Amino acid sequence: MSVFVQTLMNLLQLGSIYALLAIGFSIVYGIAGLVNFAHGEIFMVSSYVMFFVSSVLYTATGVDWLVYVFSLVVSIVITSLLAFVVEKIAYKPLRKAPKVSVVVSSVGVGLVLEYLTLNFAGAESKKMPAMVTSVPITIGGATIASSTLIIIAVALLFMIALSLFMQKTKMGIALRAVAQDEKAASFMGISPDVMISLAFIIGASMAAIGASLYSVAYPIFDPYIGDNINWWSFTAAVLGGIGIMKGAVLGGFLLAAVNIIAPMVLPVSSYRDIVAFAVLIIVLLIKPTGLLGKKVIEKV
Amino acid sequence: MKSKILKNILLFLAGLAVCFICDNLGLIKSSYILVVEYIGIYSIFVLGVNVVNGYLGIFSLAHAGIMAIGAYSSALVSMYVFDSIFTFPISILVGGLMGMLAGMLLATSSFKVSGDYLAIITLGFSLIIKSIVQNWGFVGGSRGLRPIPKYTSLIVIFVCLIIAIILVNKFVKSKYGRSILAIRDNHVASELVSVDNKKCKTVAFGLSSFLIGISGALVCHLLAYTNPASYGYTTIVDGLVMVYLGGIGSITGSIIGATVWEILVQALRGIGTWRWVIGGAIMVLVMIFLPKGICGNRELTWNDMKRLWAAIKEKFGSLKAAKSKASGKEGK
Amino acid sequence: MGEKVVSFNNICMYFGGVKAIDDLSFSVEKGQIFGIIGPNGAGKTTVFNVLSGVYIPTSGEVKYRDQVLNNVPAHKITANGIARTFQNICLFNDQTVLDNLKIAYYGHSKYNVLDVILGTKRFREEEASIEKECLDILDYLGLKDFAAQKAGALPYGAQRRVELARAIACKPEVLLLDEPAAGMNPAEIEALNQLIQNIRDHYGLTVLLVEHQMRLVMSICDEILVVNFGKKLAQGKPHEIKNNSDVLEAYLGKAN
Repeated sequence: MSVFVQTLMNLLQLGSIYALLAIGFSIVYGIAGLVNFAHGEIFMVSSYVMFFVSSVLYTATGVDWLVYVFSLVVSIVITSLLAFVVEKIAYKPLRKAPKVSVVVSSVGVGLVLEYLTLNFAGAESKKMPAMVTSVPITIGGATIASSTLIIIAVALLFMIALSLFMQKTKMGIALRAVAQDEKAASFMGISPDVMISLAFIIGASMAAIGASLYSVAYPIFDPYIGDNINWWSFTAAVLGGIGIMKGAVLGGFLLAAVNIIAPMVLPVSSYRDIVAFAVLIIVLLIKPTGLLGKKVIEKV
Repeated sequence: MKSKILKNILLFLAGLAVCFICDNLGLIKSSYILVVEYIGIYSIFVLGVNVVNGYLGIFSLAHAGIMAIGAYSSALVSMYVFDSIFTFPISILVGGLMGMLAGMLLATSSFKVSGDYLAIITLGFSLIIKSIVQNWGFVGGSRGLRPIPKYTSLIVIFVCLIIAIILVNKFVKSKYGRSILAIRDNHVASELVSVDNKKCKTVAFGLSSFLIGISGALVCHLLAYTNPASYGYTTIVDGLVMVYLGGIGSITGSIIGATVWEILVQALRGIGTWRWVIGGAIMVLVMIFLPKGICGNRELTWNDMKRLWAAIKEKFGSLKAAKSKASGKEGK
Repeated sequence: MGEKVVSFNNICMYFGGVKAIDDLSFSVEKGQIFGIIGPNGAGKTTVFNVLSGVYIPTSGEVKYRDQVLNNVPAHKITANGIARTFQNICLFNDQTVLDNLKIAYYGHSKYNVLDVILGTKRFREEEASIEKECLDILDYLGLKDFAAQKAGALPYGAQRRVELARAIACKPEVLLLDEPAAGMNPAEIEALNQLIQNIRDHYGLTVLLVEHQMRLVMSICDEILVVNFGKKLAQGKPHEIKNNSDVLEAYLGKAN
């Protein structure tokens, strides 16, 4: 029983983080129509921003969670600004170009961010200061860190907030309109430029929040983590259906399930990559547009 | 017609002679020869990638995985089966064929899945192959496979490159080449004019992976070792940059892309990891300003070179004239 | 009674809740020019899409001569004898006009990959004959001068004719023309009228024609099918259709 609870908690924790990453990636895909290969690097940069801000503040004040919240806010602001600038420089000029051009450009952006960070911050791993105090809690016979529950709760909070934003607010509805039909939305007076920039900002914010939660569970990072984050974001988003919010959440938890259960069943933990990939292939072969994706009927 | 074939044969023999001299007479610094060898190998690599990413228009990131398959399988043959330089062609062929088989299998994933989903599958393919060789003790795991006999030389690369160019040229001028360009343009319409999309995609992936596999075989027999790190994101990005820089759907473009990028990489060697910052920026700029690459989807011809030379001379001449005019005025 | 070349037997084509085609049956005889007309959204192009294999019918049977087409892949249907043009021109814009036609020969080509690599006689001879046949078709349609130009660069009228030429290059027995007169003035329509009949005679084709231009339909068609809301409204000779009250009502609305 305790093993079950332990596994479930781990799954919920990892799944929440993956879901946030997938959501951020999916929002950009749904509204701007582009596979952003720089998503993982934006995550990585936000980690570094949070690291530097919190390192400075931590020594100054003593209050943990205040530092956490403050450095998270700074991280979100700076990361959003970065995403905004990147969109204007590297993606906007390619709005009318074939999709491939934008994807290649995003790979270039990712490279620039990765190696700029490497050169300015150094290649050695850094450890994020522990800002969220964690006490062991016993549930169902298993000992769980309270930080796990906090991560799950915070992630859930932001997912609900985003969902409400998209459904209830004027801006959210405008965003979804652009995702459905950019031209029609522009006829309604909605500026696609503004909406696409907004989508990038939301995507970056999700990445920053995801990064902050990730660092509570896994505090060690380096400039190279972006590649893995990219892979997890893509896989989770694609599994559920790219561009679909519910799909991103579903995909996130499915991927977490694979990543947690596979090492328990298989002899070598590195095979979990292979299992995750195999699951992805199988899902796509059965449902080529992802679990919740809509079938596209092509006409002539 | 006959004189053209004769001319090509003579050029080929001349090329062989040059390679032989460079390989064996030690007249040129070996580091320069190494750069040329890399350019040759990567030209074959880019030709392969271009068949799928350029002509067929599928954004595939599988080339790192295919190259790994070609490298490792050919290395295993040279190390454990036939280890003489005279059987090197067999090793190369095995590398190409193993790559080709993997590619043809990969082609099936492109039948139902397309666009961004397919890109992610191909990315996964490369990552999985890397993961497999990294965890497989028999091929050396993380430390890699060594020692691989050092059989690659300029002559071998030159011959392989000529064969690669001929294969791609024949492919493009056949019904398969025309068909994949049609599939790239409009894959529903292509089926409705009798093209068997599945077959053509399979042939394209097969040719592409065959060439990429060969490039893998050549490179690991040049370095005398190979390891999983060589087949990660770096190689994936390298392949993409060279294809989009040189020109999608162009043979000369593929070679130019490989040449420019390799020279850039060597020139930027001194600045270490900054080359990736510059490389990334180049990718962005190329996409914005040269969306079809240096050559576009045309081949570079002698006429183009002559026109370029004429344009340069004209520019130079007008600069000179302006300069003398200015200094003339000053004199007054 | 001519031999039946194409038949739709109780075809239903449903997309979720939308009944694009609802229990439609008709057949076309060899050598006919068979018109399909109806208000916008009636399902005319859907008929072509089912016939050419773009859609698999929800129920019913599509037959080409004796062959049931329901689950045959589109490229095989085209190779076996049914070719079409499109409502919006679907030429391969980056390739030359000649190459556009050569592509259509895929279904009839005999050489394989090995032939290409080795440059065998079979490959060279077939490529030469493909080139000759394509140039002949271009010549017949007055497009020979455009052969080496990029298809996307041609004027609209020429592009429409290239699409027609490409459909002919598929070596079909049945030709589906989807609104070939769209965007044409009366003089051009008259020329098109003549052209369709010439092609039908020269290449021995059976033609199905989806059109809105009534003058063309009435003058050229041997038989006309009227569809509305995916169902058959009427079928008959042009003069029968012209005076059919249901048809008039569908197009013009109920007379008070």
